[in-house]
Amino acid sequence: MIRIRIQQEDFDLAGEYQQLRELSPRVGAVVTFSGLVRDFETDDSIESLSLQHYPGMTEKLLQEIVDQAHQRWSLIGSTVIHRVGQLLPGDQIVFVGVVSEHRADAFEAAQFLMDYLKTRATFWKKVSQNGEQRWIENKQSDSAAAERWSPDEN
Amino acid sequence: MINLLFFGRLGDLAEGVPATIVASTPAEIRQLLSADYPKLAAELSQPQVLVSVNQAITDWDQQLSHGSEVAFLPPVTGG
Repeated sequence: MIRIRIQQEDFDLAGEYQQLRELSPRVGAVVTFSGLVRDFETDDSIESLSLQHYPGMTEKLLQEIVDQAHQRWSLIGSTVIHRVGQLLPGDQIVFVGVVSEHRADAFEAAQFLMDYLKTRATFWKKVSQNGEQRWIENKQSDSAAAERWSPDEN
Repeated sequence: MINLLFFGRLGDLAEGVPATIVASTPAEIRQLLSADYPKLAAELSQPQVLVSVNQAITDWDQQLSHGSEVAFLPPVTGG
């Protein structure tokens, strides 16, 4: 069971967890990750974050990424939620939940999903700071994190 | 006619660019834009900018057909 949602509204962590654990009596492990809007400037706070995406393509890319995870690990189900639009520091922005029989599959798949989502899915962040807006640059460390899942290294 | 989409910072630089254009490859679109939008065209030449046709990442020499949707994608920053 795969669920992928792109939405403006917030999500309910407990509700998502509940849905995942109830997917099957075979479920032995639930791994969930939620990402928050970080106030990432050390000396200056951000006022808000605006998330743009490419409707249609983003859903397609997320489906591909989740399908890859299901091919690679033994999973019972997974949920990916990504928010778009205006967000504030501390807001939930992304959710990845994975269920499997054993923990290793769920742990690894959740990490893979986040690493791939960050480097492949068509989302772009813009921050507002001191009344000015600027697009966030991508981080080399994110690309490196995704690289480790490439077939050559496994 | 080719439908054009620009995302992220490319969208800001593409202000005023028509929504459609006549061209046979994404590379030609970039070339056509360079006259009136030199900053945008320079940005489109950055190696990390990807191009998609009908929502699939492709290369700059991909042949386009009438009604194709061409999107220019700066490095993604989701998650």
